[in-house]
Amino acid sequence: MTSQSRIKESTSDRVFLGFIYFVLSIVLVVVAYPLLNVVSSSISASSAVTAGRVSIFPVEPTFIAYSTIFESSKLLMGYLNSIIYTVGGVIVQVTLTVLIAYPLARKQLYGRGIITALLVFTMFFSGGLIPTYLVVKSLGILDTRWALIIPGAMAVFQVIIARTFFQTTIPDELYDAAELDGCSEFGIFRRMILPLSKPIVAVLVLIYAVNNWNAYFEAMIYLNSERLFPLQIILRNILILNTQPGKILSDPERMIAMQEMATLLKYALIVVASLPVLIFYPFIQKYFVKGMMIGSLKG
Amino acid sequence: MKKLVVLLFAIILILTACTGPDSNTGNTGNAGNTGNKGNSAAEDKNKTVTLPVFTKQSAVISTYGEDNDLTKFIQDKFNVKMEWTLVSEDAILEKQNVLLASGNYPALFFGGQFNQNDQIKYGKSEILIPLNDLIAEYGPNISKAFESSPYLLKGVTAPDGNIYSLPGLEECYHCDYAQKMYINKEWLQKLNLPMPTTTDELYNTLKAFKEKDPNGNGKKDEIALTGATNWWHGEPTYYLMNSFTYASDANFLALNNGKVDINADKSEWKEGLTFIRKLYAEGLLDPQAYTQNFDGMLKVADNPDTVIMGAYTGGCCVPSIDQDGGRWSQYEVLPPVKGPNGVQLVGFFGGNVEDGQFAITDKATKEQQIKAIQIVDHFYSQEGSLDAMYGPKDIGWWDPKEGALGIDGNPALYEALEVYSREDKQPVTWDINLKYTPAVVFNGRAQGQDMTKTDGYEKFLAVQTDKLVPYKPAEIFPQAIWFNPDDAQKLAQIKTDITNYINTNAVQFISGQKDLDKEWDAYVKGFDGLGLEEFIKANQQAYDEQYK
Amino acid sequence: MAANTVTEAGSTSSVPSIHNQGRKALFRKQLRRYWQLYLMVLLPLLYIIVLKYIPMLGVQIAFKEYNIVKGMWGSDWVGLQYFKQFFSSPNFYPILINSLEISLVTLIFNFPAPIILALFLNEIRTGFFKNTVQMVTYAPHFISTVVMSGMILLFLSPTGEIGKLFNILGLVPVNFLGIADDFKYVYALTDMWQHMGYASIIYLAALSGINPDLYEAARVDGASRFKKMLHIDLPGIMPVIVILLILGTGDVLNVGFEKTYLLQNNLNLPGSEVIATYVYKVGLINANYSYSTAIGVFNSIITFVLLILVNWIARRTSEHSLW
Repeated sequence: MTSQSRIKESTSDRVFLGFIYFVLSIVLVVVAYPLLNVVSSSISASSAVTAGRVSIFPVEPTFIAYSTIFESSKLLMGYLNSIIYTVGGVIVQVTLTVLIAYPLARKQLYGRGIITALLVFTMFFSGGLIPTYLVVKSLGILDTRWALIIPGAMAVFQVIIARTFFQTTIPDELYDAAELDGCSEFGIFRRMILPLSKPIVAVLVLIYAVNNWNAYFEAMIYLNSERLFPLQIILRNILILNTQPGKILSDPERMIAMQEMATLLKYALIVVASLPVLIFYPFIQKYFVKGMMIGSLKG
Repeated sequence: MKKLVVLLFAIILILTACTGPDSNTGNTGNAGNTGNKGNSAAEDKNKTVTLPVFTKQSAVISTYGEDNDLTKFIQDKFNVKMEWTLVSEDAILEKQNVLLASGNYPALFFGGQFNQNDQIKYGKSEILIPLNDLIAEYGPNISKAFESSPYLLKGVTAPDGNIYSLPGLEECYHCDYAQKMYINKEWLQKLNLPMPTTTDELYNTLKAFKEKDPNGNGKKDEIALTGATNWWHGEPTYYLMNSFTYASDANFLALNNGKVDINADKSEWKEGLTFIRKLYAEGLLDPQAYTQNFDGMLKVADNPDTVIMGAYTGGCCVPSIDQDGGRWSQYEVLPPVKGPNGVQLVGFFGGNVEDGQFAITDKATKEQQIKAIQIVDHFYSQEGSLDAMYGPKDIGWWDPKEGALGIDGNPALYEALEVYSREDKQPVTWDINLKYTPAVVFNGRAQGQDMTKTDGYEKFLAVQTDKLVPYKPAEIFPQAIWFNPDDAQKLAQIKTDITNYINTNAVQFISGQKDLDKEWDAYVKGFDGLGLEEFIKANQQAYDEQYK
Repeated sequence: MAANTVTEAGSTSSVPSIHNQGRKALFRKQLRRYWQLYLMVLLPLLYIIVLKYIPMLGVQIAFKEYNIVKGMWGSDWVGLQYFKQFFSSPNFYPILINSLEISLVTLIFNFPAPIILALFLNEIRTGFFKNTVQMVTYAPHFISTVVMSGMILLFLSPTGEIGKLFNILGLVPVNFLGIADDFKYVYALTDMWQHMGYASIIYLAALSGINPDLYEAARVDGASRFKKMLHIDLPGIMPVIVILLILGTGDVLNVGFEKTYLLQNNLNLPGSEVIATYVYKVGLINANYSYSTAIGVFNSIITFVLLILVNWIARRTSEHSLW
């Protein structure tokens, strides 16, 4: 930033910058307010939450929700499983994605249009849940950990994103230069492309990691055994406690107890479930620094 | 180059490794189905039978495995080993459909969701087997339940005479009359008003609530009547409509002298809407009753410091039952008020049978079938139903103490600890509804008899419900109706369309978006295009065949 | 597109014409030269075929009367019966319109917001404020739909926070969730609130790939911040923008089931009943696999047509397109 202090900022620039700060501040407040509400509710007495007394500060602070959650032995198992699915999944996913996105970015690849069309087609046409389930079943991976890694092993959306990145950030001259140097395709990929791909890979890792971490539906469909359940499944049962309108709950004591449990736990659950991905973000973020790509290029 | 090739090889290796022979845990679809329908010749009575079971996973039960008290109890008592396929509650239907459609279903369902159409469909394809013989031979408690609750037998028997699934049944007195309105009796006392008995009196009462400042804070912050949507009979329309014609939010079909019809296109319905419209237009009916969910209504009810809610519609338990003599004790049930034509009815939901939870598929061996029926039979006994609800004896329920009384004031049959309130978080039961709890057992739980205390709330509810019994309608359209599978899909679509039509138009008239005078006729005419005639005809035919 | 500049697209004559020979030879030449690239593509393609294309054979169920015992291949053909049944519902047209409208409005609000957010964040220097904004806007993405819907119902009610805001501003609070026509805006704006931060990440990453020399040159030229944003940043991420826009159009009939279902009520139903919720309600009464598959096919066809259209427009107006 010292370079900027040498040349004086024009007034219009300063106004614009001020405007940017203003807008971002409003965004910050608008987004943060409900978030603070969630966090405060998670450490407030549930009667205060029910009566709507909590806004951004906790009322009658209590950590009982968190202690209840952490007492559960299922929670640890859920966390572990989620980490396995997330990390394992990301490795497979990023590998497959880059393996196909990079060649598709090369203009010289004959037939890349067809391949791209083949991929995109699957984004909008699908066999449906049951045929996919049957395929997964025939692969023999139902009710195993692989069931959460194989079916989602590659997202065409991500492939397109990655392909676009490769296309726009790696100039053709680089390929020519590398070929002149006598590099093979694998060589180009390994020695030139991969080092330059940090931002792309960072994006892929983040998006896949988040998707894997949040995945609930696939786990519900493909898994049967308790010990394999990821965090989201374990938490979901509590989250939906009071949203089943059709169910007639005959026992008021049970109904009241369920209501209390749900109110008490649901906010804390959000916090507990999101914390890992939230913490993960800053680590990925450093790959998005301006000029990251070209910097490594020059180096 | 090398690294890449190694990586690729590794991935291919791993993938091929896992597509090998079927892995460990024994897919629930495959386990325990040696010889399927046939009997194994030498039935070793001492052999432990594995039971692959599909059931709902409960939020409060930390495990269904060996550490679960009910699992231990059942496994010991019946010499079985439970093998669970667990699903979270909101996904039961979806997972069940996937498993069944893909052929990958387990032998048994303890927590399924089979409505009449499902039962016929799967029964006809022989995926679910008939239970009649098994019940006759191994299910004495089930047979007894059929005798004491004949509507149960009616509700589970398909037109072909077979029983394909059994539900859980709880004869809960206050649930039968759960379409209630609760009114703040302290406000009535403050304003010197009696409980209203006619629609005019109700109107005046609500008006007084709104204008005469019954909470005494000098502000016009009172909400006369509110409710909630997507919650237990929470929308006010139905309670209020019963002063003009019968209305239930569970089914828009009504029965008049054995003739199937709808009430929503009759002049009485229009009169009812006119009355409700008046309440809405004058601010006596909270518009948020149609948009807020249960949490929103509870917020109004629990309003800090000042009471602002005059009345609400719903099943129970509002305001929060937090302490003895708390704000909740200010509210009492208001019996239905008499309409201008003398109609005074209450929504009635008794004698209904829920979707089937228990079913045996064609993948079960004879031994599994027998064990399954025996277990369910146990849950249909008095002791077993308590095991299912609270956990095994001396863990979740106990013999009653000396002198303990039940909900109905009779000597208590048992005392129990509510699973969701347990402080030790011990997994004592499976939290599934697969049990038979007749009224006498439901009422037999040891309860506090003081209705101003929180432990007397059940008694409070029962006593409040007594007020409604005189207004029970003469006949209601039964919930368990069996259709021909060929028609089922078309009828399902029509039913959805009609339900949407009635509900959206009702609120549009009530909120004033549509004018009752000008647009009523068009509304009535609109039913023609929905297939109403066809729907009524099909239902009439089914009713005649099955209930006459 | 690939190096197939050969124009004889339809020559299927049995006698190999010169052009055909040219194309085949060209392909073989490419294969020999770039075989390593083709090898890389193999594994992902295998995945796509096994897990996406093989299940597609299941689409035939939309045209059959699915019988569990007979299975997919043995069930009887009923042709377009279920399509016709769906189309014949008086609700068909309204729910189609609802689905389209909600998605379109969501696209209009949700598309620019992350871009602008990314561009603005790109301008301010790294530090506490920037990190805080990024973290805070990223967080809501992880609130599950169930809790989010509950929050929306509370916040947007006339007595909730938004209602209180109206009071402060001297306006009469509006019951947004009770107005059918407003549903799409409620849906879209809350989506924007929840996902804008997360969605901006892709654009931030794209911005990081812009050559700093361009900035340097702009500064020397004396360009203002705004001009720089307009002429360097925006064009720099334009390929990503266009691609995401095209892909976003493809999502146009996929209004999220859960959120819609939880926010529905009888007052807003005329504006909130979408295909997914309608099919769910019918399915509760009777689970018919052929019916739901038929509707899925219908969805896919509409989506696909739109996608081709938008991609064609993109190809004409910019140099970026999906294929």
